[in-house]
Amino acid sequence: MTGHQRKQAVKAVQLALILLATFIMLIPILWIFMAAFKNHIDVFQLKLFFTPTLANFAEVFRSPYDLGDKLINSSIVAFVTVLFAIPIATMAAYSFSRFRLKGETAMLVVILATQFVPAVVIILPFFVMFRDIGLLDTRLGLILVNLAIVMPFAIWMIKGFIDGIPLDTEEAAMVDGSSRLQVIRNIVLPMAAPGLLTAGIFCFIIAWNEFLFALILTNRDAVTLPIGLALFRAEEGDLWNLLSAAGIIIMVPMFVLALLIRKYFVQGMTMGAVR
Amino acid sequence: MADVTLRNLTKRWGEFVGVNNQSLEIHDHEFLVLLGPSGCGKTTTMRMIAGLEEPTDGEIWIGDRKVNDDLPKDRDVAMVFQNYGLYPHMSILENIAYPLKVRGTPTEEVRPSVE
Amino acid sequence: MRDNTLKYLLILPAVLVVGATALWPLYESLRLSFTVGRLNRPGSLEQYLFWENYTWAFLYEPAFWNSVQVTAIYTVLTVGLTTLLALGLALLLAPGGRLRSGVQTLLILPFAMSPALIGVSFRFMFNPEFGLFDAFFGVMIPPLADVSWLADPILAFAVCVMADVWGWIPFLTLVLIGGLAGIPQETIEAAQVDGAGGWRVFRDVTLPQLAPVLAVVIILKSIFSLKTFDQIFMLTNGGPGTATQTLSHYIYVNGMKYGQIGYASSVAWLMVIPMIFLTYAYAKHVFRRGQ
Repeated sequence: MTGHQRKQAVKAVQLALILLATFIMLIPILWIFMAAFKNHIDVFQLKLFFTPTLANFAEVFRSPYDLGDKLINSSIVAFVTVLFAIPIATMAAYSFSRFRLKGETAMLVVILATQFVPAVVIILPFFVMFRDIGLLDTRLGLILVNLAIVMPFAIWMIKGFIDGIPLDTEEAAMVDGSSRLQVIRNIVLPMAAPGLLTAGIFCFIIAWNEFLFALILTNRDAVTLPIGLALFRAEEGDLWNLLSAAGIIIMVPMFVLALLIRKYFVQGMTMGAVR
Repeated sequence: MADVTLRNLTKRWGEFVGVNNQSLEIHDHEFLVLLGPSGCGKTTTMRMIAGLEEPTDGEIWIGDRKVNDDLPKDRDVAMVFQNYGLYPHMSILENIAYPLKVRGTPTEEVRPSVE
Repeated sequence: MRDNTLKYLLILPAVLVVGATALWPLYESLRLSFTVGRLNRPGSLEQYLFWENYTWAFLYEPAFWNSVQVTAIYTVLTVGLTTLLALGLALLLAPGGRLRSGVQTLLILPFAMSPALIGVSFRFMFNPEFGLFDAFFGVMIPPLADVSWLADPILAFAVCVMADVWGWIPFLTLVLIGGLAGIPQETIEAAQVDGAGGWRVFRDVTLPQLAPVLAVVIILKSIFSLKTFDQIFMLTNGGPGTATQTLSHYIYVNGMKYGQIGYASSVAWLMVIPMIFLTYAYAKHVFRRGQ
């Protein structure tokens, strides 16, 4: 085989592998998409061609599933979490980035470490405390808990962004007479805005998909979407078509958000260890 | 060493022509310099000789062998790169010894050769 | 306001939040691990037992050791498989170009699925009657049809591993692609000119330079695998029996179902031990890069 033919063969094999990998990575998603639009008879018959129906989506919003309530809960919890997390994280991130603080490394290590603590370690005290002060099954409780999860991520991500903003502009402004706070408000915030937005979206996704805390700390009123999924396990067996419809409602907003911030995913998830 | 001959060497990327129908004969032991403005195709020509780019057209001969289809490793050329191309994870000794290692030179011979 | 005061004021809210929501529960769960801690017995949360919860786990609870074993095997398998497959995929997708960039973007989709959803999806696909696998493989490899995947301990475990690997490949792949991009193309080409063929170039030049990123990837994935809960819960709920009961699931069941939060907390803290090593290793990478 000539060198040229060999190169073509290698390219063909690579192409085949890429297509195979793409297929495998998309199949479960496609499967759920198909099932969501099938009526409950077709679902059990594995047909590839079927008449799509929107009935499932309508049904999951009715009782007893009431996905609408779960949707509202998830939205509120995620949104308010981000609303508080980002400003607090930004202030801290600015300070860590621009100033030298006593015990800074220790604090940063602690913040890093909290990310790696398994949720099960801290969930039980939360349960007891919430039970005692009446925060069980409340959106407020969930917001507090999600703040815990999301804060370290937010601080790290935003610090990364602020680190990337050159100091010159700030220093010039201060020489020109701005106070530190004015500099933060007029210069740093606008420049860091894309980063803040990205971190916000990231945190929103985390809060939206959060499972364990919602499982343990909610029961009826504050149930979020991911836990709502568990409702579709009936005695006769799981109601796959409804489950899939619910799954899509959970997934699709996340797809959209994830695509918006895909540039920063690696950076965010590895806490800046890989750029 | 050997003669290097380029016959009608061309490199195109879509509409853009990087190297246009170059023919050149370089004799054994000859010291040749390619001079020209940026973007005129010097580096591309060198890379084609080394085997790092595939010519769109034309032939490259090293000695009495047509090497168009040969992989760089089979062409027995050496190349110094613009940014040095050093292996950052290897020591200086290992860097210089690498081509010997790849050719399967027995370990006892490597060190004296490098030094 | 002076910078010196401001800088501490700025971090104050964050410190309060992290302190209250992360540090306090950590302390409290440690404290609870030394108590009797029965949810339905008021006052037992202050009854101290010293190490009894811990020794109980070690000496008298085969279920504890089962979950340790499940978690250990699960972690090794998922980390190994995901890393290898992600590395392969990264090498395929790194060169760039429209198709490859497109695929990289598509990879975000499985990544945006939460583990709980992945658990549900795979549970559906492996359903013996109307699952995808039954239809697909049943046609291609008849003996595999009608296999009750989730009813058999080993097969169910395999499905859990598959789901985990599937879910994490996109992320690891994207990280590794970033790592590969950081390797100067010239070192690769120099090796090619020096006489090395494909595999040699990979082994001698690519891999050593990829090592730091690879280390980050392996450590991170190990941490995620050790923690795994959501997916297991939705896929098999620890079953059949306790065949897929990871440590997190074990803690959940003991803490919430049986109400033994003292005991569950002690097991949770045992789980923290490997985490400390992994976090230390990870922190070294994170802080080294900052330099």
